[in-house]
Amino acid sequence: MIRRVIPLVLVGLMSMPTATLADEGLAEVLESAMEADFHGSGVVMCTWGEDSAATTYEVTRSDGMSMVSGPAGDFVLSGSLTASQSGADWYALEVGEWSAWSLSDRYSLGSRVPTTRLGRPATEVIVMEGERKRARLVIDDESTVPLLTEVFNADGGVFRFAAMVEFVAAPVTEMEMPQTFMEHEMLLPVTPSPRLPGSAFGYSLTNTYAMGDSGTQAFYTDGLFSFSVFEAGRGIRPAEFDSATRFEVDGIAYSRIVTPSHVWVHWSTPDRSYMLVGDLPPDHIEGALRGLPKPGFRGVVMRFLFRLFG
Amino acid sequence: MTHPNHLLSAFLDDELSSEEHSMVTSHLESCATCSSDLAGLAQVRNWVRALPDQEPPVPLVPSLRRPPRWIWAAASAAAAVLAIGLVVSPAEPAPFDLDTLAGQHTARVVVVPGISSIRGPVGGP
Repeated sequence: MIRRVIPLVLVGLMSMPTATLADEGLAEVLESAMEADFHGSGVVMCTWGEDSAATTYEVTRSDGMSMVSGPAGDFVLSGSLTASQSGADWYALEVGEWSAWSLSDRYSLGSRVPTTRLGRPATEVIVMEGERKRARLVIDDESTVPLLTEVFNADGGVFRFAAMVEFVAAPVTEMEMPQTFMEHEMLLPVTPSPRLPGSAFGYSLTNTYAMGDSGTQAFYTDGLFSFSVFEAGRGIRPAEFDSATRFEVDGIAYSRIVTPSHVWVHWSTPDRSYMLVGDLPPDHIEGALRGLPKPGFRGVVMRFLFRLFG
Repeated sequence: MTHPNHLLSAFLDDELSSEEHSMVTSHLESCATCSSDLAGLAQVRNWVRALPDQEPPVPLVPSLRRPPRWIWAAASAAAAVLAIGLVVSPAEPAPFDLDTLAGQHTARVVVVPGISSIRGPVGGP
């Protein structure tokens, strides 16, 4: 049903008189940027404490289809379908159902200042979270695409920095979705885990999908940032976390990895393993973790029994 | 990082050399997993020590003085079964694959507006 509603909403938005950036609220700015056609290449960097990671990427969006080239290779997006390339083969992952998007009322647009960026007329907008400056966007006036995005931590430091270094609005680009896929998986909704809350630190659990044969993906969002909590049976820690940074929330230890576009947090309870991945800033991660299952006793007896009997 | 799991029990019983002891102590300061394992070991030891002393039943006492051969055979068989169980028991569940999880998370992120989707999502872990 949602898939039918969203096109109707988009058609409605397209038929509305065009508002200037100065007239729009944050929700309208985000929706407008989501639909704009452009080509650009940029850099994205994420910093949390001593952890920092950066990469470059290239993106082209035209007629509702996007092609992104980044550290994970190329992928093509069209509607709810994401196709990624591995060698000469394409693999498709399609989201079967999703909830309507809504923006948390904790965000508002602060000051808007005319400026230029990459030689283009632009507007700097500040996204406020209550009294706190949460993000700074420099938005291209013609396309409404953000040319620069800064997300701030609670202490005012920059958590994520993303900037276009090359930008063309409304390019004439013909893209085609691959016609055949080696695999075509569908993310289908499943019953939410009874262990995960319906909301955490202002993030709502909007959808739960299957992950593999026995795990689940719980998707939380506040409309601006989002994260997934992957829940699986008790498993070993991914090798990438052997050198992960340890941090504490209320005296409880977690491990984290910072990548350019995501932060990863891994922990285990006595009978489950969890992985949080998302683009939310550190103070939001800490707040969300307080509402999620806590790391628990990991005894040798439990490990021995699980090893013997599964 | 190499986890000194095999030394934790001896560490708890203060049976390590000073060099090994220092190495384990240093590792525990930065490894939540081994710290948790050590806590588990300590808990098990405390449980065992907390068990009340029991007087063996009188009829059993003479037999314990000179155990018959079948007891040794049974104990050996039990040890063998235990060892085989440790070796051939099913592997632990597959770990999270960050590439797969990143793909699944990104696929959901891009269908609606958000700070990552509007600027062009960057995939990968």
